[in-house]
Amino acid sequence: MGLAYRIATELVAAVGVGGLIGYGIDRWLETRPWCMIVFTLLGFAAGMLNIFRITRGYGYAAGYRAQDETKSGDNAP
Amino acid sequence: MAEAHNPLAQFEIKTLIPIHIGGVDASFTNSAAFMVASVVCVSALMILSVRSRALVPGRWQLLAELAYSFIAKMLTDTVGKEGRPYFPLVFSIFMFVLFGNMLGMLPYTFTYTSHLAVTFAMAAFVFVLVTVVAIAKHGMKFFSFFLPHGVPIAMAPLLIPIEIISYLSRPVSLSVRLFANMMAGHTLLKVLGGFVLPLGIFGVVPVLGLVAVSGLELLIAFLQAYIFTILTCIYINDAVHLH
Amino acid sequence: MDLASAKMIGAGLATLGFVGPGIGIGLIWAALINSVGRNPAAAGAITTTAWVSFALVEALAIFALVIALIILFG
Repeated sequence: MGLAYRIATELVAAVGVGGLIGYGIDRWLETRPWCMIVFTLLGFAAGMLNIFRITRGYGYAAGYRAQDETKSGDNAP
Repeated sequence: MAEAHNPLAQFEIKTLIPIHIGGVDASFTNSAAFMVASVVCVSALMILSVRSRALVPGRWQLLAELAYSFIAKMLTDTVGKEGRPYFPLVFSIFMFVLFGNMLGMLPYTFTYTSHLAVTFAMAAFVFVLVTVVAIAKHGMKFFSFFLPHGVPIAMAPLLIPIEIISYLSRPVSLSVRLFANMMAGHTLLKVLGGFVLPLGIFGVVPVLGLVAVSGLELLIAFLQAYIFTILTCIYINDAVHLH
Repeated sequence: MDLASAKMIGAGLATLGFVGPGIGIGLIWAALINSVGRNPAAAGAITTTAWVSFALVEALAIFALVIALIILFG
């Protein structure tokens, strides 16, 4: 039950952060609306990555470099 | 009539003591009052209950010891021995969120965790702390984590933005989860409560629903505090060990 | 019709987006219960996939909620 509450907002948060970054870059470089579209898609990918890691029990830091080689197998996203 | 039954009226912030410092509105509001109340409750519980220092704990001392060992076990399970310095922070966060949620369940009270400003401030504090700890402990090596190990270098321009967005979305999801759950639960209670009187004798049905939802809300109040704390532990673990 | 009432109606219509995710979540858990009942040994692998699809469907419901809130308060 805790898992359901954890992953429900994960995808939305990542998409929101991606969209906000894209919106900020658009306002800065005046490239509206292309950056927003690209970063929203990237945010969707990040959200899927997060959900995949949580459900596989990796925690959040699966992209981090392994200290020893025995753990590197777990680290492939 | 419409105002009295507005389910969102309970989240309104009322100024109790107006304070203005240099053009900044720093008034003492009902939200701040309940934060002070929860801090006082937590401090009173922890100080008064362990005052007797009995070898065989009484009821209150047992409660305090249970809370202590619950958080200590959570921290040791997730972070390990290196997590001990962070125990006061994690314990304070857990008690603050838990008492905020639980005080909000009392009638006529205000739930400060149902405001995004409060939850995002806590989540942003945790996020900044975790980032600073990671950089202080590991230096520039920290920035190599945005590229997963064993990925072809041609994928880097695609993967690095994804990893950065994934990292930046942590405080957002942490705060939005707590805020949305508390706000949705309290709105639901208020909406159900608004059905009771207009329905007359059939108002028994919403009352039964209200009892069930109140039980669920108590569970969610604890669960959300637990989730907020265990995610803090997981982030600290990531910062300390970096896998 | 003034703007405020149009906003209310629009927000109400936007919440129709909860219908689809409601059906979808029911289908996901029904399929999960079915398949675990048939093959309990594979429960772990199936549950992982079920959580991923649950998150995808649940995200759609939250997007509908966000759009309703944007219409109402934006």
